Amino acid sequence: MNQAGEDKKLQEQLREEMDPVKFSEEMQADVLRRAHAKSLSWWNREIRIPAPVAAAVLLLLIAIPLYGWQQAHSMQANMAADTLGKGAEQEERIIVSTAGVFYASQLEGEDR
Amino acid sequence: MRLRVRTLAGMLVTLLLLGWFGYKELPSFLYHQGYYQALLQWFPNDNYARPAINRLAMDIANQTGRGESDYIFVKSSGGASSSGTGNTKLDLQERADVIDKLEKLLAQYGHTEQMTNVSYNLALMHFWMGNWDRAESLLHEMDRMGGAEWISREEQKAYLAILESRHAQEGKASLEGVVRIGDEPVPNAFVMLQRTDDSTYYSPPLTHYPATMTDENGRYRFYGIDSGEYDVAVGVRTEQISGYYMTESESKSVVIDGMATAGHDVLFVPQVIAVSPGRKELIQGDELRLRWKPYEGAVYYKLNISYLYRDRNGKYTGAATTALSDQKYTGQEATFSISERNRNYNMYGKSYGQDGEVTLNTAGLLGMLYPGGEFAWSVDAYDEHDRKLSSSAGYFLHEDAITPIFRVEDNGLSEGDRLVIAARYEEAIAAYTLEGNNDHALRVLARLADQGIGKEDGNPAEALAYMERIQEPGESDKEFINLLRERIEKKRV
Repeated sequence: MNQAGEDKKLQEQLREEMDPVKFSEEMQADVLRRAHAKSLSWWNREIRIPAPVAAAVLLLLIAIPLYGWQQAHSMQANMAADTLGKGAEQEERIIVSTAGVFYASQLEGEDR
Repeated sequence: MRLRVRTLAGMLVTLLLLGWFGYKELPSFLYHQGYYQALLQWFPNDNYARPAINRLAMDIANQTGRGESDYIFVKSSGGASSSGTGNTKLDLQERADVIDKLEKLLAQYGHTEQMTNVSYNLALMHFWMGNWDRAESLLHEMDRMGGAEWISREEQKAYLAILESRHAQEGKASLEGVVRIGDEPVPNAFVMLQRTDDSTYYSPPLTHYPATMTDENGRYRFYGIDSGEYDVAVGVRTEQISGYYMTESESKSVVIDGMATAGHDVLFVPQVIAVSPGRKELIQGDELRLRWKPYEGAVYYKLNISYLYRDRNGKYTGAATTALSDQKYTGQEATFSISERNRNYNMYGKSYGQDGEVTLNTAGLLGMLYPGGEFAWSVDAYDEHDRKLSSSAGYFLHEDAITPIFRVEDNGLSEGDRLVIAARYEEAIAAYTLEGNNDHALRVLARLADQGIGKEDGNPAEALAYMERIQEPGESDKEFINLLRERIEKKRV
């Protein structure tokens, strides 16, 4: 067998062996079909959330409970003012003595 | 930041679940953390709303009291008690606002077992405000419902008994009388009976003894009281008796014999006006001049001096009162020599602090009006039958009351005297001893030895040894020496 005949035979053999992995026309059509498909299923679609939006959402998630707690706290703190009147003045101790009955401040204060 | 939709969805669902769970558990969280106001505002229909109102009512009552401290209880035998307990001070309008708020909550959520705190505190607030009918109906309602274990049944019954005593009762009264302030009968005053041999003390005392209240004519009546001797105590609003004094009755106590109706009127008369000195005026020099206004019906006056005890932080702890002199004054002025009065040492006494520290009455060591001391004075007015009509030692419970307190200039104090005033007695003894045969130092050393600077009693023999070294003994020194000798003799026997 001459050289040319041998080369041809090898080429044939190679084509036969490579036949299963050949990028066939069907495959080409399939790739093109996929490439031109509108998108992946929405479920698997990847979306991009801008960092400021993500940060804002995170901040909101932290801020809402904090705000609520602060509101609850101030409501409780304001209870004294709302329910007990504006001035949270302490009632004075009354001192009963043989010299008379006084308010503690009259005996303990400097100017009475 | 890149995310798959399904990851984002997963996160959102988790967040929603957490949010839902948080929202569901929030009322319980708020309740247990004590945020009752927020709970009521955000979850008014939650199961925790009623318990929250209950706790809110309790908090309000704890902070403001129920109004009992607006009253002072004065006993016929002398003495008084008040329950000013450091609550937030409310005027009548503010108290009425609190009542209104609790009433609205009670109306909105209904009178249930979970709301007993609201009902009870509300009833007592009405009681001390003088809204008798509402107080009575609330207490009756609670009585019917029962079940509130935290409420003292005795206390509840006592309040009810007082309220029910307003209604006409049949049979003969055990005791009756009228309460007057000045010429005016006092309606709605509380009147209590305490056996004279009963030394219990409560603040406020009202529910611990048989009690009733006066009608619109100031008249009170007790029924079915056991026979015995009683003190009568009257509870009135503090502002009602400011400037007044409970005048002496024919008898300080009443005897109930179970047969006839005993009588006891309670009369507050204007107090004698002490003009000067007052308001912690500093007396300089040796002269103390006391002045007062004439009192209607008074034939003579007597003067008293009170030494004010203070703890080591300057806080008032008590007072000892004694006659400034035995003299009867017919005018409205009396003058004393401070140094002469300071030869009187009869205001001695010993008190023990919480940490066991001993404090001696400085006036019993350095003299009745010792330099650097602070004193209150009072004047009593007597009629021709030696009955005490009134006194200046009444109720100084209004804004511009002039407190009859004065201070004596701290001139001429020795090192030992200053140490005595500072209650540093051991150092004082050392300082006086260094002074040698100084008559004043010897007098104080004798008193310190006699009273003892520790918890144990003093040593009269040691005191006598000091007194006998005095070079120019005065009358009071001689009396003290005799007293010490008697004590030593008694000890020997």
